Amino acid sequence: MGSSITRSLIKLAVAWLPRSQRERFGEEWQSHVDEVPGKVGKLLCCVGFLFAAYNMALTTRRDRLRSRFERGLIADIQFVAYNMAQSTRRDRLRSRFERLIADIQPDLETKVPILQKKAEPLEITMERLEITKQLKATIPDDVALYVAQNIPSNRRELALDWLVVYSAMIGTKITLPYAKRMLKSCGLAPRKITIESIRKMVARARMRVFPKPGRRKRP
Amino acid sequence: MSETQGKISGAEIGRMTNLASGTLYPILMRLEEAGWAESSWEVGDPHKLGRPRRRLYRITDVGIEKAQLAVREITLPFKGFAWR
Repeated sequence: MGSSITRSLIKLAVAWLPRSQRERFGEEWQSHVDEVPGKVGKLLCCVGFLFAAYNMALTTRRDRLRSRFERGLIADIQFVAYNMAQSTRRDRLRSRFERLIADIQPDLETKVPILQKKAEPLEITMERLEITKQLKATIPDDVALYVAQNIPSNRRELALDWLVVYSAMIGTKITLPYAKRMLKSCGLAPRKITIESIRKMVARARMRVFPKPGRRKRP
Repeated sequence: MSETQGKISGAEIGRMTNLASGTLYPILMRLEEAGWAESSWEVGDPHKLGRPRRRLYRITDVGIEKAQLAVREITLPFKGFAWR
């Protein structure tokens, strides 16, 4: 059953592509899905193909001829390089602490040095292309304290990643106002929960679940 | 595993770069169209292999040059990962 769903999803995705590319990507994506372990993984991969096909269909021939095409490709490569470095760093941290996983809630004084330690230099290494580069960023005490105090633990590492990457890419120092502005623009800034905000959110959800009824007919 | 003479499959690239399929394939397509990467089918009959053939990608000389340039430039202002 699982494979029939994945096949249907691939078929659906491929239908968005130009006729000349359908056969190629149909077979390629099928072989890709075969290599993905687990049913959920396969399903998510197929959903990804839908997005890929939509994106690929949108890139028209006219876009490819534009001068910014090359700039976009450079940005693509930078994105891939950054992503590789980031995942390597995460794996390294995970393997370093693999045997030490325990549910410990550190206090604020401990959180700050942990965050600063986590913001170690990001290393980009592409062995095949003989490329290595190190992106450095230091987190000042006040920014680390702000992140530790205001960002919940499930989003803290993500917030830190954004700060390190943006500052390294743009080449600016991380300051508290910069961090606040940056985290707000990424939607990671702390939100104040008030009775009014809860009421608004519930009302919006109710409107979605129970839409406004139409005018009733009189008997 | 799927690597033959410096060629690598899309699934393998996805694992190496930690990119989801929805992000990876548009990038590969753009790189291929620009001539920075090239792809070819895995040699073998799918019936004999018992699975669909893999499409193997390889970075071209121009691609290597541009990748080195891109990583060298990485500290410049960096806006918008996605574009169309």
